Amino acid sequence: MMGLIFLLVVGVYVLVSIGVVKGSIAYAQKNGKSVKRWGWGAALVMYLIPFWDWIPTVAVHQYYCATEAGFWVYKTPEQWMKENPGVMETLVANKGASSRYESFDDEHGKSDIYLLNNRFNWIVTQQDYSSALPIIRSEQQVKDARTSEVLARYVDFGTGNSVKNTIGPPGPLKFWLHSGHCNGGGQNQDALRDFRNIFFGEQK
Amino acid sequence: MTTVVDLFQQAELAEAAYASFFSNSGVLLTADADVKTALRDTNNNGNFSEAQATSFVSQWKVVDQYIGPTSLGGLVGSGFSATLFRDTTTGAYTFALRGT
Repeated sequence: MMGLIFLLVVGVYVLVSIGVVKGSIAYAQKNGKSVKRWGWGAALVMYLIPFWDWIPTVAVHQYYCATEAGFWVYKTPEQWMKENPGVMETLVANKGASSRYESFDDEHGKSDIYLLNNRFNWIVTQQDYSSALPIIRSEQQVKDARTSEVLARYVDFGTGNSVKNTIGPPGPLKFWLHSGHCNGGGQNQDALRDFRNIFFGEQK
Repeated sequence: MTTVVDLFQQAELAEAAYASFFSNSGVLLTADADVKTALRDTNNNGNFSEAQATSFVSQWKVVDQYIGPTSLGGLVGSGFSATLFRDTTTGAYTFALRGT
């Protein structure tokens, strides 16, 4: 039903846009002004009302992807096991998905801290990264809870949604802005998950 | 007779069907922590609160999911998605479909 309402709204907007452009052309003809300038100007305004943030969002998303996104391993499982002999074998996975939730930045950010076992945490954070554009920064860390040392980290950026405002625009309406990851972000997320799985501990 | 509790569960399952439970390499994620993260992944249609997601994974397991292929940001393709959940208490299966 929402899809049909959406199509109806788009159809009405297209009709209104055509009317506005035709009206502008008629006004220009009547008042001796440039028909091309008024016609294209009106069309541009009607285009920019829904699409003004498209190009800036794509540009800023690509910038953040190029400068901040990636997957980093600061300490391999082998290195950690060498520094903590015999500990890995004693880890027992917590049942279910035990986690602690933290909200920050006036609800523009959220962190779920999963307690994998009595030694390791998996921290999943999402944060609105721009006040004007719908860009979300996602970060995941595998952390040694005893030493607070981050063993691996993954950073990614998605567009078209907001952590604080999950329902209203841009939300699901501006579907053309939707992008879940940077290029290669999905693979990085899988790599972090594979890394995390090593530290889950024995399932009992 | 359908009760308010039934309706709540059905609405919750329909909402959960919007989330993607696949890894980027196409592996179905069924571990509770992964399901919970998918339900809360704002970038990928997961809009559950932490409490909602915690409650959900304590009752339901993801058995399988189908997501229809789309392109051009969802403009091309049906957007169809269906997920099979299993109630961990009763063992009953529920087939949940994404809305239009």
